[in-house]
Amino acid sequence: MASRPTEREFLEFARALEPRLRAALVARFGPHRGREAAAEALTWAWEHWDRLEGVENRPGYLYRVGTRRATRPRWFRGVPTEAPRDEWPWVEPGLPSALAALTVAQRQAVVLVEGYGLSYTETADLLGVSRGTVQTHVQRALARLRSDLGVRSDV
Amino acid sequence: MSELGTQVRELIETKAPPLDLAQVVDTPIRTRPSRRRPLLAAVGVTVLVVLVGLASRELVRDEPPVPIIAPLPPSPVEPAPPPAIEAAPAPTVEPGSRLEWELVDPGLDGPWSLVDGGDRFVVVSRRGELRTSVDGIGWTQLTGSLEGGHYAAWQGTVLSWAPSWRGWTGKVDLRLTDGTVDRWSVPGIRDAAIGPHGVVVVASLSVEQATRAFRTEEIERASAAWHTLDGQNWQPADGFPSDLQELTIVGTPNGFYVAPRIGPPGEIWHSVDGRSWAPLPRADDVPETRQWRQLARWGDDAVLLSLTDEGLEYLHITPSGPELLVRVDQAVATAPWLRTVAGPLGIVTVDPEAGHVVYSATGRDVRSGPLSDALQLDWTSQVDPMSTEMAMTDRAILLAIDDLTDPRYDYRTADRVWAVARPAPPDHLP
Repeated sequence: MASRPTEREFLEFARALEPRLRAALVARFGPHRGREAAAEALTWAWEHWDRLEGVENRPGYLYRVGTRRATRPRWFRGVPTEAPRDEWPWVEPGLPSALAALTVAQRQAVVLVEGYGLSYTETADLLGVSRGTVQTHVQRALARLRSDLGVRSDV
Repeated sequence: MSELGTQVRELIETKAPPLDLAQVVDTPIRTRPSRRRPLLAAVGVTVLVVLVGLASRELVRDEPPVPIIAPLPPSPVEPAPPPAIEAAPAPTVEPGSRLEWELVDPGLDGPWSLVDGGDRFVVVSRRGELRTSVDGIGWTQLTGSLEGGHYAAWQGTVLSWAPSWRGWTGKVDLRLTDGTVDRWSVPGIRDAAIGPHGVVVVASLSVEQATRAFRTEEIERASAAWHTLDGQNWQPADGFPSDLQELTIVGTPNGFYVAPRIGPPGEIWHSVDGRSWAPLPRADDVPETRQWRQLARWGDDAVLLSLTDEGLEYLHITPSGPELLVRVDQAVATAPWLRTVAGPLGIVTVDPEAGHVVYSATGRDVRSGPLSDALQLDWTSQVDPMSTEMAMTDRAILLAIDDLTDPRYDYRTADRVWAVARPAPPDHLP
């Protein structure tokens, strides 16, 4: 018999993973598609827990599941029914466009490391790249953001 | 965390707020794991064209369907030859026969789903593998692999579908007898049926389903049906009852039948070809106290199990209308778990929650009694009624019940109990 988690155990796992998984996928695919992909990846995890058994890097595996779901042809992904939110937080007005101007890898790295406080190693595991790559992307992303936003320091 | 980082996080949390994880664990575990398989280019192009047509037309009938005047050509979904295995002989069925149950080990490792193919059993593993048998004892591997979680079969052609209950587009797989599998994406698919006259897919999406999805736009559509003979060309069904939200549908040699599954009694609808639908005449002697119904293929037509306040009744459904076969004045347990199968060996209804079986060899006689002794199960703690499945050939009745051995886990277990039943002459009764 496969050792499935209870609902409580799964929710603990999902709560811990959801913010970084959602952030990584949103940084790559945008708020709407990225959030959907995170939802689909977590649903996949619940439905197919047995396939996660033996997987050492479950966050990284589920990130790839979400990536595959988000890159499916539109007709196969299903019917999108939730429009992106019009609500905007109190942030630097130029931040969204500055983030959008970054490369996908730079945006993912800076979102996870600077926004969600993940370590370089955690970010590297999640995205399936090396620690050094993450470090490089973060440094370049920060430099470009500071340049685009006209700030010298963001501390 | 830097100010910039704080703002980045704030931006994402606002534009893409946290998911409601409770909805994730609402997902039934019945869904089989998908297998990633390469999409063949030629099939992909064809399917894409079909899907674009479906998506653009979706459930809006902007063009009247082509009326069916001439008889349909024979379905290209031809039955496969019976599996080359040595099967148990067909038992003799007499009025008043009873069932003799026997626990069997079909050698199926894991929670295989059982599908009634009419003249053969078909089982589908969680990974979509297929096997077939005529007696439930000897099994033959079938080529092809299915995704879906819900299955129906007509001989060697197997239909599987994943309903769009999360508000997402459902999938339909059709495994043809040559082992190839065709796949479509169907918006709002709710149910499907297969028979000698092709495949009917019923699509609708209720408000409740949509609001349970991550995408929360409320959509409400009436039921509509699509038909295909060859798995490639789909036609909207004409006259399909649009007010049916919960329905039971079956494909038979004399066509398709559909009836409301729950709620107040409604008409039973029939279609010879799956495209043109019309209500059947009502029967005067059928009481209108039905609460729950299930259609099953029976001979060339169907039998309808109808649960009443007093017990249950079987109705023979033909193009002429429903005819009451027999009534069992005995209260039965929770309706949604009842499983009914019909065929050459009679009509069998199992109430897995109570461990009760009702059997009618001819449709006119009826016997009922407990299953517990025969299957050696503790029904109060071990049986998962949601996952009971049953099928019938001319050789045997095959029952699969999930045996919950660990009450800590609320999910479909891998341990299924399989039992075969065959009619025994009535004079063998103790």
